[in-house]
Amino acid sequence: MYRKKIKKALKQAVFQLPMPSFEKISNTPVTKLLEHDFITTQEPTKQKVQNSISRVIAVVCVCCGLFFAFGMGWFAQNCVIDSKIMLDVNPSIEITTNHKDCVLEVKGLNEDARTLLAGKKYRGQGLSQAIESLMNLLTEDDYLTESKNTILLSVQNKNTQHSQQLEKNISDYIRASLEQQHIIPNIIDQLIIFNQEEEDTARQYQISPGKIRYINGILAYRHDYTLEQLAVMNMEDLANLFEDADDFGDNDDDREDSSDDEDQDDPEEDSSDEEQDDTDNDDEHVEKKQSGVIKPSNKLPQKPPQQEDFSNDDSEYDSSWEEESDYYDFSDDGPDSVDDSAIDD
Amino acid sequence: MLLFCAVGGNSPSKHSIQPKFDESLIRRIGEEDQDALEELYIKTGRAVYSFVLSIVRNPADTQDIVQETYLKIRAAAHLYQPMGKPLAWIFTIARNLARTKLAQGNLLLSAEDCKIEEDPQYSYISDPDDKMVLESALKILSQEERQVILLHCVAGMKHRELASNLGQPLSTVLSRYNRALKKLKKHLLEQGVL
Repeated sequence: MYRKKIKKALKQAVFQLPMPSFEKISNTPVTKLLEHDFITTQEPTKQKVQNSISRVIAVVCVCCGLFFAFGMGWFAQNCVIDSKIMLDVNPSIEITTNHKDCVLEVKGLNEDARTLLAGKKYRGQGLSQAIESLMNLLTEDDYLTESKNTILLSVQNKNTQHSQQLEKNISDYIRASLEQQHIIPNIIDQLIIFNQEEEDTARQYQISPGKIRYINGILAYRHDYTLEQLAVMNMEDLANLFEDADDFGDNDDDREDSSDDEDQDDPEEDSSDEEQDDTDNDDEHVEKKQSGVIKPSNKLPQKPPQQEDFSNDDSEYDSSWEEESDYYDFSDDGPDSVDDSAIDD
Repeated sequence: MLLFCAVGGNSPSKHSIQPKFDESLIRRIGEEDQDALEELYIKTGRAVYSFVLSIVRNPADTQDIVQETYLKIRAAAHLYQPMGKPLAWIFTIARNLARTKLAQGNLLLSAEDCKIEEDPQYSYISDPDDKMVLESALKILSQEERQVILLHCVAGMKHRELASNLGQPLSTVLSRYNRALKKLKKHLLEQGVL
């Protein structure tokens, strides 16, 4: 109530005070200012200052955002691991590359590899240059020779197409490098995405996850070996085991049939068994694909087939019995049974 | 065309003219548009008067300064840069003129020296209670409180407009207004006016 009274009183009081005459204001001659003086100067309003500051802050934020975006883009292009390549001879070497297939890091996974790579820097190098350097090191230390020429190449990349291209390129680089040393490499390549379990196991045994995957392939059929035994083998020996593993089918009957076939040495039966083996291999390929392997492109080692030469074979082979009956019937002493004395001769 | 009477104030209308106007008025004044000047004077005259009165605290100087303010507006209107707050610019001119006058010591009367009831300038105020209230406001309140209460009560400016044109936070304006009213109420009760 008092507020209203006070407000009303003030209003009435001031309204009754005389105001300057408009006519005097409008008729008094004035000199136009050329520029603002200290009386008429326009002070930038706080809002304008705030707007200016806000604008500056906005520009700074945008610049920071752009810088961050470009920085992140550059980082993603150049520093983020895009592919992992593993080379196993006996030294196990891991190469990581960026999106442009430039080397980020080359590290040894076991003692031999670490010794081999001591003091070497590969960051920023192209892949071909790095592979050539590594092949030179491996040949200098006799890890790779004309007789010991097996290399396990494992490539990991989310993009399958890129993986395949990378695998092909690296294989070419390896062959080109070793050609100068007159070594024809036996490259076993695999395109895979490793799981955590394989990586942990690889770390435990100080080998590459690629080698672990290869060893697991052997252990699937060779139950007479353990992971510990295979982990310390070089690729040459592992490749031989893998070849032998093909003879160890899932079916025990097949194993018996193959051993029987070796004894009889019948070419026709041998070829049919080989066909059976090929079929089994195909099944293994399918099984491997189903288990998550992207493409085991070359499962079998590419060794030239060793032709058996019996011309100088001094093994005990008596061809005289071929003229006899095809089989011996030990069931009874029938008219077709052969005289034991003839056999002894 | 409305002419504003120089002698004898007008009784306040029920609905005070709020000093809201378009910035284009100032541009037109710069082009020597008399109608624009008159419109500006009608809309803002009382607010400028209240503002200056809160600084110098006597009507005679207030009248002179208000007149000089509008003359300055005429002289500098063509230089005005639209910033969205033309009334703030007018207040700036009025404040600078008032401070210059205070600094020069050319005040005709000081509120401490002369009582309103004896001051002939206040003889235009018919109601003695109104006179007492105005005297109390000019005497006991601070300059900021005087500004806020006179501009709100006399010129009819809302608190938000005051905050915007005076460049002060709204909360500050509100607190000053409430404090001023409390002071006035207490003083006037003690004086037996209310």
